[in-house]
Amino acid sequence: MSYFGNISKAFSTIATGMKITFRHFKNARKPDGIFTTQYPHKAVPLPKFSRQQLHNRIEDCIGCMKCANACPVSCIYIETVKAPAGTLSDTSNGQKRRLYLTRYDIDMAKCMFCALCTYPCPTECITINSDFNFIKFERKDLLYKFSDYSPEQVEQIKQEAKLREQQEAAEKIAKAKAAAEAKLKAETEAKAKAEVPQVEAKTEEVKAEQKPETKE
Amino acid sequence: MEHKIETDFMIINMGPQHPSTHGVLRLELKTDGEIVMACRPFLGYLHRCFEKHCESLDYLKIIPFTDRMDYLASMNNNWAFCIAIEKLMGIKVSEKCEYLRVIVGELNRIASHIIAFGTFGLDIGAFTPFLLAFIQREKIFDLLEEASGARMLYNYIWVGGVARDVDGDWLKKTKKFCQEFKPALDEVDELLSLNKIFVERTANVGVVTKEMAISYGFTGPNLRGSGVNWDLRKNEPYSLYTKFDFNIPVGAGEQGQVGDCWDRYIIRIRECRESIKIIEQALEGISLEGDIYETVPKNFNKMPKGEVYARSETPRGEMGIYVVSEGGKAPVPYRVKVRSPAFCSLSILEEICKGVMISDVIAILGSVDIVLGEVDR
Amino acid sequence: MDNILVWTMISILVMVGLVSVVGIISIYLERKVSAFMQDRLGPMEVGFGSLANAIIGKKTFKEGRIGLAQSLADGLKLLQKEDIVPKGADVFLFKLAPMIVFGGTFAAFAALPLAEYFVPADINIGLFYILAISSFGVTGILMAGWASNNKWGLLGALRSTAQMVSYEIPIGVSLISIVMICGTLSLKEMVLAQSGWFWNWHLFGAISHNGAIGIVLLPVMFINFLIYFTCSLAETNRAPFDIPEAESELVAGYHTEYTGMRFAIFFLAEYGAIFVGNAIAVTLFLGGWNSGIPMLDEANIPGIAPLIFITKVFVLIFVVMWVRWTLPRLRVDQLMNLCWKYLIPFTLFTFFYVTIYKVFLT
Ligand code: SF4
Ligand code: SF4
Repeated sequence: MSYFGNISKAFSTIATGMKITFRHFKNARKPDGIFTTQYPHKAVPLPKFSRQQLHNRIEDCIGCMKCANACPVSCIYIETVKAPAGTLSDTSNGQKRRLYLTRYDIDMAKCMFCALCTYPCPTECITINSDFNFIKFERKDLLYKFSDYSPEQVEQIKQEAKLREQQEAAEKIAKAKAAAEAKLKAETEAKAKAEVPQVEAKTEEVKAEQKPETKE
Repeated sequence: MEHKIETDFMIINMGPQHPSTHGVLRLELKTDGEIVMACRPFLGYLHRCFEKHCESLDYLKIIPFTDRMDYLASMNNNWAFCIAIEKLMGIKVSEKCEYLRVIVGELNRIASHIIAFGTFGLDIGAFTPFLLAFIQREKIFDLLEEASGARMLYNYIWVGGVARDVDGDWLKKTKKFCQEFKPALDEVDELLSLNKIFVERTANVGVVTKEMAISYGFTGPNLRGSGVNWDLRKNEPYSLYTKFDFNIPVGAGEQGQVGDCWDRYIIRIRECRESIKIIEQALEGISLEGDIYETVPKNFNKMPKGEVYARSETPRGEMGIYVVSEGGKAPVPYRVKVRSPAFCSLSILEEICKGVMISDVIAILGSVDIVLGEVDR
Repeated sequence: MDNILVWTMISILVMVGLVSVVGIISIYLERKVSAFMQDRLGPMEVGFGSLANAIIGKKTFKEGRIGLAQSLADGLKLLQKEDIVPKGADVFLFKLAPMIVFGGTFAAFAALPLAEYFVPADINIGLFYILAISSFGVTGILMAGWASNNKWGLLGALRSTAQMVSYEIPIGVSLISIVMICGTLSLKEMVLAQSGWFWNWHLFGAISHNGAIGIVLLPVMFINFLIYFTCSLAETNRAPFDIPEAESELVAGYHTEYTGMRFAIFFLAEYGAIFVGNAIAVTLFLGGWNSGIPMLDEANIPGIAPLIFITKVFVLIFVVMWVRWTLPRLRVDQLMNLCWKYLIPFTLFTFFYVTIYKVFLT
């Protein structure tokens, strides 16, 4: 390119550019001349579905662990304790709840907002909503606890469950014992009734004694 | 008496914290004053074991991880991975989903190219085009957010379908955006592309010849900038790309030599125009009837044993996904390997940054448009 | 006599305030101008009221709505920052450098003719003095780059020196034309020579000196003005010639390692230098404190002369910003090319043109 061609090209292209920037400068006074908004005073509305924060309606959660299994980063922590039938109300879409949720934590610091956990939920109780305002100063505050039991309650529930378990186990053993005893009784009765075939009855007695052991 | 002044080369570390290394890349420059004698890129600062992670994740769970590779074009990454898995499982995706994929993929391509030429301008020193282009990028993000729920890491394209349906309103908004985008792009184009200073800075700088580009494995806009007409959307069409009418811009050395920074830059601007064309055609063609989850597999228990390699055209070039599946009950891949286009583009730095000036290194780095998330994975 | 003394005292005081005020105002303007050109809002929150509220810790004053006090608040913030001296730095030079840069600019302010009786230091070699003292700043920049023990800083300083030394030449030569026409180096007399209608300004030739024939100088004076303006951009390290602090290349150039108040001083000095550079342009080419309409000048409204002068300077500063937010940056060798291959030949041409005019036509 020639010497003067260079100069004229430089002038003309610079002028074009300056015209454009000046147009923007001038348009800044017009209502749509400015693109940005002053955020805390005026926020751009978010779309209906915006993946910002997870929420769990705990009264609907059946503790099925499907969400925890779907999470790629394993940031949902669930602990459940079996509840006696009928103590917990049904979920809003009519599913039975059989588990106390002693722990339902979501670590939002680990979460990557993929929303994969919300799809498999059978009761649609875990949702991702558009509330993005959850700045915390400490990392531990980002561990969201959804379980509605206080630590003491959890302790209590666990203890009760343990008790119940023991009870159940005891009941089971008792049942088994009772069953065995009943059997024994029946047998002895039968033995008493028919005293003649003694050898057979003896072997049956051994069997009955062995039964509870094998069960356990 | 003769005095001899001893001179020495100066080693400068450009990065990992540097305004224009586009992430955490470290360039070790051996300089003689302003002249760069050698340039060695050091990678790995953003290595997050993506491929290794995948070996313990369900196929559906891998998709949010692919978002984080090339975080500027997450849709295209999702898509590339899904194409591979669909190929392996033999899924035929419904037409509606394909249309949606094309629309969001091309929207994301535009957003990514905006970053590419915007930050390129920024590297050269022009602030305003960058921010003016970013306004359009924001609008794209608004659209993509409405469709997928997130602004950058979408997790939108799923194996066999897409994650969420869109409504007619969204299509209308997209159409409106297409109309608004064209004059805005023209403005940026006018402001920057032919500016004398910009041309001086970029033309004849960092020339990558056709042969070099091919031997270094350049793909995408970088390859086309070197004058090779190669685009998977045309040469090996996947999805619905056979249906659309669009051109492949190829660098011609209008301001200098073929394959200089200016060529690579202008290719991206022109590709944005082509993408808009594709989107407009797709908006014409799409029908909102149909279930998007129709072909989405419920679980991956029926994953066949075998391996697959699928490639697709992301904004940075050809992304290849290689997956080995063991099949069986545990539906996790045995191995995932990604062929990253930006990694190949980066490898050329060592060759073309010899004997240029420090400012040129910045220009070259900006023009090959790397994303460190994808380079390191 | 008394009158002049009082005015001189006042003008010195005004100058002291002016340097920092000019810096703060320019920074605010820069932000707003750049924001508007990029469809942004710029600073909006920190008005004087909000700043005062923050300082006294109570909500007493009305909050500002256009962010007028933003740069002041930033200055206050920088004041409180830790003053870091990097390891291995040459501490003495490191600390001296910002003072030299600022000192150069401040000293240049002293000779600016704001109004007829408003010249703090009315010396008869004013132009020469300003040119000399404002190039003094480059020493400070070189010091800063060298002393901070940082490779980016060093590169920035070297670039800056090369640039400033080269661009001194076209500046000098282009201004000599004016000196030849006026036959004086005193800034005050140059402005006085341009009083009256605006076509008396040197931008439009030498009409006030030689009558209508002076119009033949119009084209060369335009060229001179453009060249001077371009060079003053380069002298003050402004885009598109901001390669010494090219932030996308050299991180921040020579002041990479500076923090807190020292950084703020560099910043202020930069804007001060821009003011000085454009003030010379106004003084020499655009009629200084003259409004261009004799009626207005003769009305003798107190304080209007400096106001006119400052307005003119800020209009030019606006152009400087406008250029900055439009254009990309040149490369080092292109910068030198521009200087030696384009600017210097043109200034030499105008120089000879004016010489011939002076010898044969007057
Ligand atoms: S949003 Fe994703 S990462 Fe977060 S808890 Fe749900 S599945 Fe896990
Ligand atoms: S999937 Fe739903 S119901 Fe099951 S544990 Fe998770 S939140 Fe509760």
